[in-house]
Amino acid sequence: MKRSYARYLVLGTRMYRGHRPGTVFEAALDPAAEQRAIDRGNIRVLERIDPTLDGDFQLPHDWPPSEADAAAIEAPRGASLISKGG
Amino acid sequence: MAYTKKLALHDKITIDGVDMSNAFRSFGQPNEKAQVDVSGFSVSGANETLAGAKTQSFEGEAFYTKESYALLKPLFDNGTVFEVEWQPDGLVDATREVYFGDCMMFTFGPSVTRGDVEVFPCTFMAATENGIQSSAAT
Repeated sequence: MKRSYARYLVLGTRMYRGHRPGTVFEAALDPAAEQRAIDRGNIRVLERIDPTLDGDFQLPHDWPPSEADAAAIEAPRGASLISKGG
Repeated sequence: MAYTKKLALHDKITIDGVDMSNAFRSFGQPNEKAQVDVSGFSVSGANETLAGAKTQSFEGEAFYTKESYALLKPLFDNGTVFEVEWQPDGLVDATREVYFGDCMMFTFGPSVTRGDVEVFPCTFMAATENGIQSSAAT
């Protein structure tokens, strides 16, 4: 099952994955491990974090360049090879 | 030059993410490889041996309380694969090596004796091909 990021609050009196009781941490826990910890009262989910990109992101209109344009600005083929003579 | 010596007092033990350091009074991580006899006839008659399959586990003695029961019994009953971590001296020294692995419990048998401290043996067997690994703390 896919892991999802979340912000958690550590409950009770025991540290959970190194986080002290009362502290908040963010992690992508294994879903089954998360559910067990919730059922036991070790942690509480404060917020699910699902990163998304807002808006419409596209490449510039002139990108990628045509082959002719690319040939004009790129180095000749083999220009970066080092000769055997050193 | 003398080697460092320490008493085992501050080990950090984490079971399924939960700090159970104070619930154990002994803990260890035995590893054993099967010794496979591959001896043939020879002048010396000495045995030849190859190392076979590796068996890994965590073993310890936990105090039998309602807290340890609440955590461990469901893991045993459900056949859950869960993370176990052991860091010697880890409660006071975060730089110490860490032993970790996904494990299962195949036995759960509390047994108490009148007048004695209520403890029971716990064995966590490595459950995945990754086995139990160790690494220096980062």
